[in-house]
Amino acid sequence: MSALVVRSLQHLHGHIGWLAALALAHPAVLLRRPERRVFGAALASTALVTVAALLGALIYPSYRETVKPAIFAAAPAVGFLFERKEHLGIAALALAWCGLSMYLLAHRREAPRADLGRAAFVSYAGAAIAATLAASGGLIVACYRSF
Amino acid sequence: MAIGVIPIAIGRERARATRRARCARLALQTSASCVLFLVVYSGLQLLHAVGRDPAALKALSSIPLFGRLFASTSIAGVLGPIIGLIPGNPEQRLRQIPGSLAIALTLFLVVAIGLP
Repeated sequence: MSALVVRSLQHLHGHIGWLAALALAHPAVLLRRPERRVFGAALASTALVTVAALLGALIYPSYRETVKPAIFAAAPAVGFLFERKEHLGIAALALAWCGLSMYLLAHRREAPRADLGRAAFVSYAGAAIAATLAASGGLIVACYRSF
Repeated sequence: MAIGVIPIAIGRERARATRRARCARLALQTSASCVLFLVVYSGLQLLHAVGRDPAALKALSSIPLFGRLFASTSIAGVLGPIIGLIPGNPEQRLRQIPGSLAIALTLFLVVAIGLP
């Protein structure tokens, strides 16, 4: 992958990551009342966090080869912050998909709506927290050094 | 007339209860997969932090992060649906999902933030 492509993907990943973090808070806030219909917000936020994660996974091998050694040599704390951000991003992705599944199941006929709505709320709230922490970590690392 | 209505009502009620139980079971399987994913990933992260990465992870991917991700997804994808099938009242167990998810996320956050 050329440097220009990696750099562009990194910018896209950063912007979509922040959008996803904000978007995940939307269903979390709305689902405080578990019976509410938030299909659009749930689907859009889950799609955004998935795209952000895929872009991140795409540029991670290049990051490991070029940026990671330089960051760890100069500032190990920033390098470890990046590693933490990766884990938090994975948690946000898993919880967002769990939240979407719970929400879809809650709106099936005869479903125990209140219980599943509460589970969707916890999933989206957790995903929003994890995604915000991940996006903040990514921003700090990108300010320090990027492609 | 009432004698003719009761069996129909019972049949409908049974079908409704079956749909409800099936839905609860599916939710249990999904949430068990998510909880397991977070717990297994935390465990693998813990092993990575103490320098005892399982050899199988290296076979999955040369990049440890991806190896952990593939391993946790596979384990959660297989064991989650099985755990969701454990007998018991699925609707009663549904009430434990939010708490289980919150505990798994807390464990994940402690491990991910505490141990890079």
